[in-house]
Amino acid sequence: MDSAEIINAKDKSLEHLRTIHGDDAETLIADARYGFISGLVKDILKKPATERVTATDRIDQLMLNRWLGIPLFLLILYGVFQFTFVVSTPLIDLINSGLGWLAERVPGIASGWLGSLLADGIIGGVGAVLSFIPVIFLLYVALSILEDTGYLARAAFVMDRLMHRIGLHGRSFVTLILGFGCSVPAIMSSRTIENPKDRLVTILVTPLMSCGARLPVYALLAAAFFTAFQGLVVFSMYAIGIIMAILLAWLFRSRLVPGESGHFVMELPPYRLPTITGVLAHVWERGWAFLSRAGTIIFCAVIVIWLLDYFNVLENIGRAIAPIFSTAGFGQWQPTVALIFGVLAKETVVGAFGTLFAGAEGVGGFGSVIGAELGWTPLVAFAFMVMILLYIPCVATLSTIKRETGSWKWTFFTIVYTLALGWIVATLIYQVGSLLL
Amino acid sequence: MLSEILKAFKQAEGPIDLNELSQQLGTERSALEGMLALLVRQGKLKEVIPGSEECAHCGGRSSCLHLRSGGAMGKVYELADNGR
Amino acid sequence: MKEITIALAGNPNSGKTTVFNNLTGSRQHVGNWPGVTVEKKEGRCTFKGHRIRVVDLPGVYSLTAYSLDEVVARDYVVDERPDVVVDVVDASNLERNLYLAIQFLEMGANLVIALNMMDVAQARGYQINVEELSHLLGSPVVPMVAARNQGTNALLETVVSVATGETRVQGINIQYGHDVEAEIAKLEQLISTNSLAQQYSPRWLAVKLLEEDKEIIEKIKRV
Repeated sequence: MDSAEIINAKDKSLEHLRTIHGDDAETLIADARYGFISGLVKDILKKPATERVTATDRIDQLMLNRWLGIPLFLLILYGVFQFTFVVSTPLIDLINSGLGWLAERVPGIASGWLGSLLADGIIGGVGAVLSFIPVIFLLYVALSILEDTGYLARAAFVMDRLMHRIGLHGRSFVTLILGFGCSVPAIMSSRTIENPKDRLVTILVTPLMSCGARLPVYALLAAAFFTAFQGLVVFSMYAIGIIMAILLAWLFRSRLVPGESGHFVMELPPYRLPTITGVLAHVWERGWAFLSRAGTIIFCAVIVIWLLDYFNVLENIGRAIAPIFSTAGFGQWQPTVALIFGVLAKETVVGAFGTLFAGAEGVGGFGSVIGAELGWTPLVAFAFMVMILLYIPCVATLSTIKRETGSWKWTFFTIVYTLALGWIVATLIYQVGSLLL
Repeated sequence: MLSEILKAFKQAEGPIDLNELSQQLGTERSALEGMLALLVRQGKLKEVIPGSEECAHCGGRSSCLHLRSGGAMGKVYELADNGR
Repeated sequence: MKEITIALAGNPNSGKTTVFNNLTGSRQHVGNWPGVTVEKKEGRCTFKGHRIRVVDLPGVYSLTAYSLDEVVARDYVVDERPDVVVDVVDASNLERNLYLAIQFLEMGANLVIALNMMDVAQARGYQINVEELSHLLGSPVVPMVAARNQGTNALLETVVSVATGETRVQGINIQYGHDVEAEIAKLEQLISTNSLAQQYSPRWLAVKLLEEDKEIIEKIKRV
């Protein structure tokens, strides 16, 4: 028979089968094969009454447990921060003494404005940010271990399961959790979420997942105001971030028309031991990113801050805006200025404080200097940290949001809502806290 | 069997992991993986590896915890006409 | 005694490479499948006076036209007609691995199943009725633990036995359900006068057509 006739006959057959069975012949045929095999295997294979499960399955019985899954996640996260701070604190002190030593050398080399630039601006500002390298390094070691072992996939899974129970369908956490590193790739990874409303909501709340750049700020303040509880306080920042992300996602979802959304099956990778090379590779990349940001954006921002401060312009700018934050307890020009520059890059907040207070007592241990100079109580520090957590994300994040949503409206909306949220929550914390304590 | 898989997707109460699904359907897990691959090829399911997108000129690329970690976040299967 | 050619097939991670190494030792040769960038491994050995040539097919999960590896594997078996096809099956993942085996059987290949990783299956407490499996598939089944080089001789015995015709492979005929079978029958009739029917079994071609197999459709159009 001639080919065209065969092809036609085939098409007719397929059409016919599709009408009767509502499916492609390919599916019907595959089903028949699988059915055949299934029957065959049942015939010839006897499995033991209790199938010996793999190590991965046994661990997952715990990690994915309906009741224990999330508490375990929080516990592990807490453990990560405890580890990070206990180990990094002596290292930070070491770096700070080194910086202090350097700062003392400056009067011998330069004086006047150059001396100030070097000592206050560069050593004080950029140096302050750099002093937190140990914290960043250790946190990323921990996070990359969590990821390489395969645990992070479980964390995302149990969080998305929780979201589903609250009525938030879709699989945001699988991408949100990447925000613990940096919001930018997390937002870009949301491209894989097909439902446009789910995707938009995910993008909007991603900045609330505390990113690596905020860590130096927390570290600075936690060390100064909560010395014994550093790990706990920083953990609480991440926890608040997660809670806010869930809350805001729920809020946004109910405002936007809810659409049909994703049911999904997740293939979790088997647990495995992370390799040292793998972990170091991640950490190296992140560490390098941190250093290059310190060298560029932060460096420039700090110089600008120093300049504006030197010419007494900064204080005026700060004082003009500061009153807004008095309800949250930090209505002073220095934190205000820090917040403004924090929109460039969150680490700049540390750089700003470093520059502004460098003169006061040398670079070492200037967290406490903040307390002295600004008269802050731990409560205020906490409120400020929450502000850092929630308010306007950095320009890199904003530009990513613009690119991924393709709209100025949502970018602007992000700026407004995050600022409002930060202000509201920080204020609440301060006001309620003041009444209780 | 294949249609049972699709039904399981539609009726799912929240995300399911592969082990659960294989228990639910009474199929060996690796056989299930084969069937999911077939459904993906047929375009009825979508397969996604989270975090693996090109982040070419993204400033956060080198801060990306996940890039190049080779699918440490596992794989996600979804119905292909999700959300439409 | 003529040379016997074996095509070695199986899922990735079924231990196929280990079996290949056990059979051929250092007498291996690596090249490419003609016209494509898929690696081709060949090797030799002798067994009881027979010269045996082993061709390692790419590791595949099935024999569709969706992937180059699968097309290469399939084409080799059809075009070169090896004396025996050995499918290395992971005994601890039977359902998944047998999916390939039955496709070979449907093609009419002279199939021998190397039931590998018996140790893993045993460690899981599995009990496999090898005889019954062989009976149901119409093809010999050789239990092996390739990692410990166990079963290699038995495999070679069986291969020689099949190649010389001493043992016959029956093949299987999966019934696809009343409606699909009706369409298969119709197409089979049309195909049987086509020249392709000399190379492939008409029923197999009919099934492939219904699956909308791109390669087969191309081949039919070109005739």
